[in-house]
Amino acid sequence: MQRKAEVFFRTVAAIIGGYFVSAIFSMAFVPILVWLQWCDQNEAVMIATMLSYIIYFAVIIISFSRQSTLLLWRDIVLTLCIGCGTYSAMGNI
Amino acid sequence: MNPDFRKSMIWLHTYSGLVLGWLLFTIFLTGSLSYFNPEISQWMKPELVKVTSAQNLTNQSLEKLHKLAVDADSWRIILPNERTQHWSLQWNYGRERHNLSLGANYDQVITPRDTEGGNFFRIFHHSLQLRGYGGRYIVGVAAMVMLVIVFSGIFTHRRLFREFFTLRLGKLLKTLTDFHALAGLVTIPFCIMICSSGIMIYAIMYIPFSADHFSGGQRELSRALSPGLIEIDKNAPSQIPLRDFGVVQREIENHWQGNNQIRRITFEKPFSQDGRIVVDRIKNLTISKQPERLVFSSYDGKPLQGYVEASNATRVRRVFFGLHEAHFADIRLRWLLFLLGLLSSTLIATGLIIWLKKRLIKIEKPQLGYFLVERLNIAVIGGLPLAIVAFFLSNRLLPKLLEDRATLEVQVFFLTWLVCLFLSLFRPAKKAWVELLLASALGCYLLPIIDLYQDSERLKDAILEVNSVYLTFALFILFMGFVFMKSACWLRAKDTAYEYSNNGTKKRC
Repeated sequence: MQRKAEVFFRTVAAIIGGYFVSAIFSMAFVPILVWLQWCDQNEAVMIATMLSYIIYFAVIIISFSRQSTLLLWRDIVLTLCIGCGTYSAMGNI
Repeated sequence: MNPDFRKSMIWLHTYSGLVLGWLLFTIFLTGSLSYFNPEISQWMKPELVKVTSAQNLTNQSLEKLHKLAVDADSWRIILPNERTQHWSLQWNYGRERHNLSLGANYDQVITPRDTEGGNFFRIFHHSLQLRGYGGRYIVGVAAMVMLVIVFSGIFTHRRLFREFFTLRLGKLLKTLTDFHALAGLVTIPFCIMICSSGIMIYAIMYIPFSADHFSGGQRELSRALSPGLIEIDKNAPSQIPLRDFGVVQREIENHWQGNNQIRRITFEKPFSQDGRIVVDRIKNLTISKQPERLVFSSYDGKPLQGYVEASNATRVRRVFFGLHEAHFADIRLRWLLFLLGLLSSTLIATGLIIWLKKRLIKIEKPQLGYFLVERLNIAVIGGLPLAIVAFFLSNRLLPKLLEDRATLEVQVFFLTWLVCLFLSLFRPAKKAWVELLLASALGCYLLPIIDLYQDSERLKDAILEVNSVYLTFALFILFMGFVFMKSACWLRAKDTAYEYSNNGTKKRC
């Protein structure tokens, strides 16, 4: 029973958590690129969105290979918070 | 969950493969066929004949359009090329579209049979015929999962080199396992390329938040990144578009070296003074999805301001798109990609069968889960090729003048697949496999025979004109029939041998 619950929580972390992390990344990375003056905003949107799939992939792999489910979820929530923070701090550039 | 990384990767490989295997098999098989989209369409419309007079095609098309499409909002001339004989004209008044296929001679108008052609596989591959219902999202999820499966699959093998060179032909399960490892290794680069480029096609659609927030929407983003031409003034005085394409042709030859560089000519608002001609170059010169384009005025043929170069990020995305569709590939590379696609499909199929076989050995009583997997394996892996063959057969056998013929062909495809599902439910597994494979083989053999019976001129013409598309199709379908038949015989032989040895051991006990 415990194993089933663990598989469930890890799958949720991989699919939904991964999607949220990559979505937040695609939002938060845009102001960083613009702030560094690497490209203009529209281009940054395209770059950030394309890169966010790599993040998604990484989150899926980590979700199933991390030792502890609790630490996994802590990291996902932490990443989400960092992303949101970056976005709200720099999003208005 | 699992003590080490490798074990958890094996678990991930097993179960993500099981959950989406059947969907992936379908997508990979139809996608492989889509590599030959124009060729399959050409085969399915045998009325299209070889257009020989390559010189004056454009001027002849213009003459036709001047006669038929006065005051149209746009004209389009699609010229035949190496891959297809389809020479067609399109024009439209607002939403009303017209389409005309032309034959070898100027006045010969062809009405090819109503069929989706190879495009059916392309559409089914990227939207599963569910475009309005999230089909493209499902395919995107499948592509992502395939990447995960490929990555985790690498860790299942500890001795890569030795396993690559092992193929034990004795027992079915061992043969399949060895083949799975071998095919997996060979197709790793192909699978990664095809899945990542597939995701990139709809990258913005799957994660639209950034585009919605910063650029105000997906369309606005693509407009900002690759600006189109200026809007044509609706009130501009009217003009008659040019009749002789020679002016433009000379200008094009200055830009693009080589013969037959034009794939498509589009006239936007041909009967306005501001009207323009957009000329698309053939696609096999660039990896990008977007071929080169030149713009001219539609009434005097003078060069106009062309397209602004798209931004780098957009160009990268277009290269992914182009890699996925492989219009750049010449015939040899195209065959290689096609065969890699087929190999990946068999890789997925063997994976699914291995999962089941390994577990069926251990259990005593039949269980619902295994039963379902077994039946789905038969219905999808055995049934899809049969459905494809039935699709081709219906293209030849349905009456030419039937209404909604194209839709009927697609329905034949799905009905055959449904019948396969029922057959798999009600027949013993081993028999169902053999029967489906034999049925596919029979269909493959019947196709060229029916073709010959319907119109023996076709084969004669094809041989005389060295119509490689037609001949290769016929040969390949015969070869596939042979493969299906051989594997059916092999399966039956394996099963009987297995039963004999089982009975033998039981008796000894």
